[in-house]
Amino acid sequence: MNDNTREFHPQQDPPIKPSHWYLLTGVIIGLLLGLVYALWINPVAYQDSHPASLSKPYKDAYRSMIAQVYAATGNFERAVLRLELLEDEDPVFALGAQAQRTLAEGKETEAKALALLASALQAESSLQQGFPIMIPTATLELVPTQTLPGVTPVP
Amino acid sequence: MPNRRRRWIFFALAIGVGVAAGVFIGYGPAAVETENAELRTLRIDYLTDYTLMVSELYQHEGNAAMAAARLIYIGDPSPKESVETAIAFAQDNQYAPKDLQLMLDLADAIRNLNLDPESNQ
Repeated sequence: MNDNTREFHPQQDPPIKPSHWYLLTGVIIGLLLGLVYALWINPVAYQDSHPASLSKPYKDAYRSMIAQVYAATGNFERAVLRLELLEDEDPVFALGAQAQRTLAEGKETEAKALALLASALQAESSLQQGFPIMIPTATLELVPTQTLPGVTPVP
Repeated sequence: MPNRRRRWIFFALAIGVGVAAGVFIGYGPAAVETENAELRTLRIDYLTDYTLMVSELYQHEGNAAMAAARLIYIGDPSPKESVETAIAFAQDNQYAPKDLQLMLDLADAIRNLNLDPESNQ
């Protein structure tokens, strides 16, 4: 070997660091599997539930019962206490919207009862705010003259 | 341990962690926030109040078959048992005599309806 001879070290590629994205993929896959199992395959069984946690159709049925009982008995205080159990954000709106839906289904008597309770609630609310207003009496024949707001309920 | 095998093991562990998290969320916060309960799962005092509402309507309408249908809607196939359970709860919790009487009247009316299929044979 002469002085011109040099040792040649080919440049080595830097070692490829293994990616850890596969762990995140595994967690996401597991999360989806767990949610599918817990929400669909073996969902939680409700017991001792509160009326506020009822599904929408059952809440509508409950609300309708309250309104029909109010129309039959005229017991406003009791109707208000029962409505509070449903924890509607706006009970007057909920009653009014349901009255419109029920009327569209052809159930006039039920729609009238819902509208009657909505009117009574709205009147009571106005009274508490100091506005003089007639509180409708609870008879099924009475058609409330107050026009209900025609707002489409947001799901 | 070969690198590939180790990656598979960690991948399986990651899936396990994900499944545990998914089940925890599904049975915890997601279940609590979901409004999905049925009428028959109501707590006994709310069920009793529902039965009382049916009794109040029965007193006004006088239609026992309609009252029975409203009780069947709860999900209990036996309206007679629904009313009797409600009456027992009402008696134990000192409901107003007037309300108790309404439910007793409803119980009598449903008994007279003879909804038991075995007795109709």
